[in-house]
Amino acid sequence: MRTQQLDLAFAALADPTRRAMLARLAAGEATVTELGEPFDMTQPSVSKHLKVIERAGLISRGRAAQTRPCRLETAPLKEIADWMAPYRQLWDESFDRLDAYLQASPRPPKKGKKNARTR
Amino acid sequence: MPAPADHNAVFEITRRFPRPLAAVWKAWSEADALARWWGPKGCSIGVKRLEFRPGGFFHYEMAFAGAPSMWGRFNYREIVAAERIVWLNSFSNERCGIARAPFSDACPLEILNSVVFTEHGGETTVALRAEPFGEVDAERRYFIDLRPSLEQGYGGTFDQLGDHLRRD
Repeated sequence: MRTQQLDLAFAALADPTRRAMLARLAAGEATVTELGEPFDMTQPSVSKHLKVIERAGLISRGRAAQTRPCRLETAPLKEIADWMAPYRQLWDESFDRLDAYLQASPRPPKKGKKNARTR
Repeated sequence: MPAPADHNAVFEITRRFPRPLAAVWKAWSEADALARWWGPKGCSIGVKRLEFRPGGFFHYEMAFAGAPSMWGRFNYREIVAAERIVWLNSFSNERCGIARAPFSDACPLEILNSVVFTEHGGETTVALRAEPFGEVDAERRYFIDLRPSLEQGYGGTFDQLGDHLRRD
């Protein structure tokens, strides 16, 4: 994800109202009116918040219906949340190389054993 | 139910190497060895500094063919010989100053790692545990908390995410 997009996403989530709206959308699609219901604010204010969320790519809006219901877009959220997958890959690969390195490095002779290596 | 935020922010990996602990410990504590195995695939590690002691730094360049170098560092916090290492891993600049990941702001600034070495029957087990370090700001925390629910969501239901968020 591009840095600019991430900035937008973090900015969108900096506001508790917008976080609550996303929480509502996690339960399923909703119209602007439905999203505004829990809040004491005008519809233009609700729309403004939604525009911020939409610009960040966290929701999409239906084209067909008059009400243009909003739905949560999970892909950007998942990408942002996920530091662990690349970290796991980094360690998997590093451990593979460590294993190869250890196998290749000379073994010290084992004292008093028949199969001791002498090189 | 365990606290989802903490549980899901911890990464663990364990590997067994068919060599005695002394050999494995050497590979973790000497510059030449570290340069041979540590780091992302496809890069060659240039060790700029290795102070293998608490408070010291391992500072390295990650050189990729046909791409600009990236830099990283370990800041060692605890070293118990042949037993454990605790360190903060982060990206850095070429002067060993801390830096965000060059490719993504989503990567935690610092990751706290602890690795424990145990030997059994001539084999060494290496158990690594890692988690984002320090205060996680509200926005980032939100993403971390969302993670398990999102994975569930990909399976076809957002119910769990909904429940999780409603508890928030």
